[in-house]
Amino acid sequence: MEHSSNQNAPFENLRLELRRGCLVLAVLSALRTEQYGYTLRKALADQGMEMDEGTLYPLLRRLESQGLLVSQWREEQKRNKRFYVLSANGKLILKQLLAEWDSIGSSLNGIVKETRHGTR
Amino acid sequence: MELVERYLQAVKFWLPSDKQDDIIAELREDLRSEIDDKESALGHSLEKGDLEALLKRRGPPVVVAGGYLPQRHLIGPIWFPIYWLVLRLAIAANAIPWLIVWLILVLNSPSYRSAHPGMAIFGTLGTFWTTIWIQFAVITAVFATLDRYQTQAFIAGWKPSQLQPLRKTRDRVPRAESTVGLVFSFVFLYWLLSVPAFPWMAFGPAASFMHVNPDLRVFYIPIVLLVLVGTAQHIANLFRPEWVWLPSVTGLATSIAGMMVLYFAGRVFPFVMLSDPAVNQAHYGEVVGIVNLSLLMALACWWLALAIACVVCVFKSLGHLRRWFKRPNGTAQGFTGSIAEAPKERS
Repeated sequence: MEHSSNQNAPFENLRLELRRGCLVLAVLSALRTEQYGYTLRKALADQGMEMDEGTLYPLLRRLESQGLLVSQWREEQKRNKRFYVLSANGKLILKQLLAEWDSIGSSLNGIVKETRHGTR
Repeated sequence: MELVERYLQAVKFWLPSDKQDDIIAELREDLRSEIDDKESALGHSLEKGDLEALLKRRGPPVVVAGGYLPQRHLIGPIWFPIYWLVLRLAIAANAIPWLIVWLILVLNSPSYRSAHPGMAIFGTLGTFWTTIWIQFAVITAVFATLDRYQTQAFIAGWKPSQLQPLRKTRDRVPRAESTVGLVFSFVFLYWLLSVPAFPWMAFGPAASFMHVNPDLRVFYIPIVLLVLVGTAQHIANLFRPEWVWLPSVTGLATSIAGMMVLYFAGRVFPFVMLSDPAVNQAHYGEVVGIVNLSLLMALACWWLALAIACVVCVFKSLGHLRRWFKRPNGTAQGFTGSIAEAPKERS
């Protein structure tokens, strides 16, 4: 059992590393509409992008300190919640990041396609 | 809910004071939302065990708080490899000679043993640990300071032209090295074997009035054996130059044995004596005293040189051992296999 988990450890580390790079894009994209932390986390999980709160909330604060998000405390259903949404600068950066994403995606598709053909 | 508050309190402790309340309020809201969701799915309030499981999944408070803190390090990736190398070298250079001296004292000195009876002998290792800790602390402090103030200068000051020249990988012991070593070993052995019959080969004209202390004779055979071991290594490497590990392994063994011989020999004082004190004392007594003092200093220097050689050989031997274990088939079979293949590559 331990042996098999050790064998999976490199894959698991690489998988997390791969996903980590996509988290910012996922969060910025999801915050085109205003949401508070918990609903954002659920929305991402529903789309298959699960993210634990220990990662999400510090990331939200970092993006806010970089001026990509704006937040405000507001009462909803008799509870105070902090709502986040993309700032004007955030929208611009998201657009640039999506273009970069598309470029990486098309390059990677070509490379991966060649690799897949080569390994068959 | 008390458990949740206790959890949040523990997280708060580790957070920066200016952001504590804001972060905790958000975390509290997130926890409440998750608890509400679970309760509505279950149709009843969460049990204590469920709450514990929920908090356990979120992780220890210090880890949760750590996510909000800036990444910090004492020694960063730029200095760490140098720090690690210096630390290992410094501790090994201190620890190995220290332990050897301690072992010699424990094994050989009755007065040392009687001063520290029974298990108290291990108490004397306290100085050793104190020295190691001080070394560790000083080196760490120096590198932490370098990391803080010198990193940019280090990166900017780096010049490709200052890189070390290419090192030739030593995949065999040069035959010239083995031949020279063998010639010197034979000459030394010849001299060593001749000295008992021809004392003038050691003392020159002074052989007429002084001779070696008879108590030193017990060390003669061990010294001859050590020289023979060295000679055997040169012969082996002459025919098996691919045994690159042999010089360091032999060097380690002969250095340790040599240090022990020198230590015990050093306790036999004086090393040389007047042949006929009644006749020669007036003329040569002072000369013999100077010779003895010079020999004592030479032995001390030789012992120190062997201790340094010992440390070097330990590192080299460990390097060979590490490379051997890292071989794809790092077994004894793989080892002999590679040796057998080496001559083919040459041809």
